[in-house]
Amino acid sequence: MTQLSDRYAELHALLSRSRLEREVIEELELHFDSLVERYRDEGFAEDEARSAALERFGDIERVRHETAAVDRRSNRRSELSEIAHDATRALRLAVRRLRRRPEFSLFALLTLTVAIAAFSALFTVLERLVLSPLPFDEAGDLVRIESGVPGVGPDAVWGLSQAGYFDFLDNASTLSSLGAFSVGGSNLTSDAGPARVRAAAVTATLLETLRLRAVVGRLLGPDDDVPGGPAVVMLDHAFWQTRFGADAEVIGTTIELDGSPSEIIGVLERGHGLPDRPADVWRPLQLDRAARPVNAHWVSAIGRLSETTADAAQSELDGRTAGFVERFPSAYSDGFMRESGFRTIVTPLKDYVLGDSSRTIWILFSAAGLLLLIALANVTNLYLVRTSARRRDFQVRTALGASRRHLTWQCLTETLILGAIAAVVAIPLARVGIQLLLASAPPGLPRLVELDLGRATVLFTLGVGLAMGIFLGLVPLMARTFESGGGVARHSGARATISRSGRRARQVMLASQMAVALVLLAAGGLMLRSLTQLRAMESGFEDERVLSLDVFIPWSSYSGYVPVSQFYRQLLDRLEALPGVERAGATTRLPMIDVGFCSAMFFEDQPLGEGEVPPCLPVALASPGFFDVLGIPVDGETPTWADVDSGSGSVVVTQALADRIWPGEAAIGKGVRGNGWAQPFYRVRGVARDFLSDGFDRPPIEGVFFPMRPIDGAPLWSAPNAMRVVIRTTNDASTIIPAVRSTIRDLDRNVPLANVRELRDAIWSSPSVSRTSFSLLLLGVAAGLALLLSTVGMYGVVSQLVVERSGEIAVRLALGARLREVIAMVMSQSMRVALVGVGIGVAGALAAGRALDAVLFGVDPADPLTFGAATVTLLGTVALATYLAARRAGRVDPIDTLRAE
Amino acid sequence: MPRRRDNRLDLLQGTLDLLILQALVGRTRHGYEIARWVEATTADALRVEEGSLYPALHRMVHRGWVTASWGVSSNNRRAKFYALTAGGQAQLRVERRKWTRFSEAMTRVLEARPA
Repeated sequence: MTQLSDRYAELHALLSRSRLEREVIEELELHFDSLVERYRDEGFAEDEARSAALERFGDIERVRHETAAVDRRSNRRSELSEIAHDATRALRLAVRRLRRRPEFSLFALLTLTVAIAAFSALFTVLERLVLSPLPFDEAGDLVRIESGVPGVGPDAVWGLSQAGYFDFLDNASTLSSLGAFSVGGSNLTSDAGPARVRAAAVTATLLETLRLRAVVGRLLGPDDDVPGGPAVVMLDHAFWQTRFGADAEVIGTTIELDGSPSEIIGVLERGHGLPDRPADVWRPLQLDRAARPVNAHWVSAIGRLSETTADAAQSELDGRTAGFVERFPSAYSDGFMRESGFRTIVTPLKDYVLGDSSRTIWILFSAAGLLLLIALANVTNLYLVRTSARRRDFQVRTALGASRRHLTWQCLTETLILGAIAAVVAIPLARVGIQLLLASAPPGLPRLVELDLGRATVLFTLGVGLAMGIFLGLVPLMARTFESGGGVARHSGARATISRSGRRARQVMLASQMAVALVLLAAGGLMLRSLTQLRAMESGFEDERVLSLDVFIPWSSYSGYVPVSQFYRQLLDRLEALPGVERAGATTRLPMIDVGFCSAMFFEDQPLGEGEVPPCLPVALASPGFFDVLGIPVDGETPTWADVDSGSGSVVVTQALADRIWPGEAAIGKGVRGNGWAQPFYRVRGVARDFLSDGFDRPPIEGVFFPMRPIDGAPLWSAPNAMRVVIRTTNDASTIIPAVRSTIRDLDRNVPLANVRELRDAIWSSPSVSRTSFSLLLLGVAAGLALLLSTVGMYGVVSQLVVERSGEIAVRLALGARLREVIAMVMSQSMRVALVGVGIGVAGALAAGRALDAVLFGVDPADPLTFGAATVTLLGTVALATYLAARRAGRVDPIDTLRAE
Repeated sequence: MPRRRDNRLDLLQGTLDLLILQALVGRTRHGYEIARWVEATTADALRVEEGSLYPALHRMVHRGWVTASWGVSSNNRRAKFYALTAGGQAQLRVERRKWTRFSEAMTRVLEARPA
């Protein structure tokens, strides 16, 4: 029994060994048996002979192993070299095949390259805009902290109060750090002369929160950020480069900021700054902990979550905010909290920065993906056509014994080469594309600076290329090209069925391609229409031929309302005297540029009840001439310089404000003021026609425009040292820039001016407008490319459909049909297919339009004009392609065609 | 039980290949025949160890010096026969030259008179 099982084990071991090992065993057995035989012949007994042979042989197992190992090693080596040999052979074959059909290869290559390049370029830009819009370490943990005051205005948001900031800084356990900042304009004087700069005042904790680093020198530290601390300043990297030529020697030198000397201590890392609020210089905020808490909310705050969610931070800060009244009675009262609906709002910084645009951007991502899909469809199609043409070839080879795997491998190498070449060519092309996109990107999108293809994107691009190559290589498999059957023998019968199922496939292809193209085209069209609508938007003021510039007169030499208003009066008078200037004016709030700020307003005829909160309204100071320059009609009268100088307190309100505060009443003559309800009041002298100021998608401004000098007993906010001067010119606004510069220099050498530009350009480069228009531009680019690719692709499919019917066309012509009739027949057929595609496409585009609705501007998501144009374009393309192909098929001698069959 | 013969020599390093190649000159042999031929030719002075014979043979196949093919042995069993290739013949010439030079050198050393 044991013997039997031993035998069995032996047999099993033997069988389970590889063929090579079995051969080795057999070889050794023969040797062993021969030895035994020889010893037996020499006269030994059987078992003596065996043990002698065994002794001589030594360890048979070891010999066997060693011998087999030799075989294995050499086999592996030869297998590898065989694979390498196969691969190079397949590659050479593939290249030869590709070169044999240059138009096909070139077309496939071009389509793939353009699509991959466009996709990579769009993807890179979008990735930077959306996926990593913040240049900070672990930016996902950053949150913006604000005060919401819905009682003041529906979307009214304030900063934190100083007391609130310190309360959160010291106590919030959900925040690992918290920083505060405030950005404003500053006057900088250095060896290079005066300049107006954007200055950020920041706490040392903000730098820590954002994890900023210095490339030269050091960062602001806690010792700098104390009340009465040293006057030190850090430079933004870009500002350091443009203003100081990236000179590291500036560290330790002194510049004058708003008249007081400050030491430059460091330069921030390139591309790192406040999110969405570019600043040129950074100085310590130097908040005073000991200050008496007041109800002033001017501190912007950013916190870093300590391994928790924004929701957790929200609920903790809600709790702390509820205790404000008790802890800071001098700043917060129960009445205020109730009436204003005061609460603290925690928003992930990324959401805060991206705002509404993230949706647009996801739409753009989909557009880029659809683009890739169209290209893939094009080339797939082409492959299907070629595959059916090569079917017979493949069948012959299958019959000759070529394996399915072998043929697949052949196809794969071919398409992989295509994909790889396309990806490699696409990389530099995508680079160029990115530069083009960036060149057309409006300013104000700080994260786009120095954008280039990253290593990840390069790999991604290569991956996309190879994936497309693999997909295309598998197309023949899906089309079941390699099935042998009796195809060769009865090939003409087989051909008829193939072309029937092939034609169906191509019809489906054409219809779906039409559908996808229509969706993209309609979406792109809607976006482009929005863009033109946006550009043609009735803003209510005229921005053509208007020059805008920022003027700031130093506090040290112009202190108080009288000298400031006198300076501006002089300046505007001189500007108006320049040839080519019609009118000049100045304001602290330029429409579409200065957005957001509001102030509590009190009205003489509407005293507030107990605990009532005054409305927060946009306010501004404006000089005489301001409304004239912008071409805004004013009912009543606009204040003159005589009014200003006499301190008559004349204000202009907008129609929208008058309608809200005094519905059905005449606004002129009413009293209005800030700083609490008390006499005296400013008098409304004029009502300006409505105009947009806070954005194209916002209602007209409900604004109050105060004179440049206050009346006694009703102070304004502060003397308007910084104003935006606007100049209406008779001709091209840019031609008077030199004269304007010299006028200001003649008046006061120390007055810097900045942002000299045409108002129209200024408006179009403001962040809110620029992000929108850039997104629209990107989608326009995607839609244009989609049209191009799908046109080319559809032409290919349609002409193939016709070519397949060339036999039928020939027969009909031979039977006496007229060419025109045949063309009409062919066209009606492909148009039917195209109409199905259009139908599906329109349905898809309507759905897409609904998703787009939020970003569209002044255009119906089902805009008939756009849809009509897209449909006509696509149908026209198909019709033209069919016509051309059918005509060509009809021109060939019918006999030739039939013979070829 | 057969006793070890005392006059047997150990194979020098590198001579196994030469022996195998030489054994295959002019005719094919299987492994046992090769070993047997060496013993018989040297009157049992040299013996090929089975433990090194087969790995060496297989190595030589992969190097292309010999080819292997299955045939029938004298005792009517399936056996793997080895034959010399053109490459094997070339290699044999190389090995022979090496051996000749070596043995000449050895002889000269051994015949040298003490100075």
